[in-house]
Amino acid sequence: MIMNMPANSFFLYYVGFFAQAAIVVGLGLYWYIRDMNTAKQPSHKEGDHKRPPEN
Amino acid sequence: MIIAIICTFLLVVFLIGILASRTVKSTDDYYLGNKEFGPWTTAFKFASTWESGAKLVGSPGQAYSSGLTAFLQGLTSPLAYLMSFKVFGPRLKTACDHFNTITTPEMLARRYKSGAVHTIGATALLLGMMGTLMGQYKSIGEVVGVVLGIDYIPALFISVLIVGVYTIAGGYRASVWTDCLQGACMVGGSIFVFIYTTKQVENFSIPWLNTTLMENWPDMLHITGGRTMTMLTLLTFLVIPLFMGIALPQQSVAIFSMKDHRVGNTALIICTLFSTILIWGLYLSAMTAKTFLQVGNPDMLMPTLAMNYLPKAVAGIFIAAILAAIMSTVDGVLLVASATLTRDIFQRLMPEKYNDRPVMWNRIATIVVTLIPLLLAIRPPTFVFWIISFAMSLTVFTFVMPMIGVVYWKRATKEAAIIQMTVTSFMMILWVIIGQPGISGMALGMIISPVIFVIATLLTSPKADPDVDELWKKYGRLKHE
Repeated sequence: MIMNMPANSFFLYYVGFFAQAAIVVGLGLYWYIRDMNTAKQPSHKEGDHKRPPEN
Repeated sequence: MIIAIICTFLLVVFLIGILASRTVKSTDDYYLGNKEFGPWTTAFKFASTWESGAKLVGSPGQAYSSGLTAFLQGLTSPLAYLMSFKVFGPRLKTACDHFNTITTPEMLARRYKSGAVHTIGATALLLGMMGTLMGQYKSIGEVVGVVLGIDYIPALFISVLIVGVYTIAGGYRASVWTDCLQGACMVGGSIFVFIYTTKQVENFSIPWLNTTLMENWPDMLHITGGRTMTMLTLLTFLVIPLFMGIALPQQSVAIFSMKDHRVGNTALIICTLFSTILIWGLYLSAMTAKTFLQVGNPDMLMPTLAMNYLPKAVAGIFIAAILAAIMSTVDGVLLVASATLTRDIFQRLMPEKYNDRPVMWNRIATIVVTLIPLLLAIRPPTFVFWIISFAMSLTVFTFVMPMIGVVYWKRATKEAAIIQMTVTSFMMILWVIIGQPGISGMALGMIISPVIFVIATLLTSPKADPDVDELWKKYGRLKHE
């Protein structure tokens, strides 16, 4: 018994659902932050403009 | 007070439809909102279409009568959103843009280069969508009748008129905008119900609830609710939702209409939070209600709880949330059925007529698909109950494997798609008519659909298709984006 309920029900319904939800939200946040960082990086073209001329 | 809130809610969704109708300029606008939607609108469209009226009324009723087993229906929702937006989503969106399609049968026809696939897909889809609509109409008529204290038939007409008018006028954009409002009502309503239901008992906590249920109704805490359930049935509940993004065209359309495939990264977070609040808020409320409230018909639990234990304003919001859940599913299904009728049937039969005034024909088709199930839902003959029963399994299992061939299995052949779609559609209908002997239609579909498709594909040879080669090159580029 866990939390006054059968252990198999606890693991299937409580742990099963919230583990999925935590993983999905975590992955979503990771992809979201990665996309934000990618969008902030200057493109190669912009970088080339800023690069000082080589001697 | 309750009626005033519901009338305000209905008026607002009606006005949104009228407002959206002014922005409709083309067929792409009407059926996909010009593919301009970001994460919030995509997430609310996707999640509120998925969480139908059953989730707000039927499933909490089941949680009240059977306990935790009611959670099986939404247990894999987070994983289903991940599959829809990250596993299938980017490729589905790429395929939609590549083939320039609006409907799922059209996409299959272009992937497999087959008119037969187009026709079988359109027929199965129309039948499935009609069944879904009739089931939802029946629910909305009953709920509105109880809430407004009027008969089923006037309640049915009032509610279908409202959802029909905003969908006919505003098309997909109206559906998305109203789904955002309806989704907000569903989330807010679920939170309020949870707060006010748990206030009815002293010191609410999960261990307290479990102890009380264990002492009085121990079966409610068992995995299967104390009944025997085969592993196949359990798997059906857990596995089928994972494929909703590709197998249910009313869900796929939310992915088609994203402005970019990266929208899915944020949308899946919003969808997961949306379903978590809905499922846990409502089911825990229903199980808590078991300790202080007795109702004869579990389906009447949530309306009874709202009317008798919630403050009037909150009850109004919750009843609006029930209507919202049904309406958001209905508007999505109406547009998919309408698009199938115009793009997959009418445009193929009379291209010149359709291309002359496409938006007008789109609206006429939406009127037709709104009215036919309405007339059948007034006094449903026996065959209507059959259609309602096989609607979900027919739609899911006709499309799931051919759609896998669109997004992941390049070798999949036209012949396999035709054979699988024909046999599965026929079996899903037949199985319900003969009373689903031995196993449920869903379980049968889960077995025969992949078996037929894989065997038929391996027995036939794929033809070279530069268009499909190009699509797979685009899929390859997705890895670097």
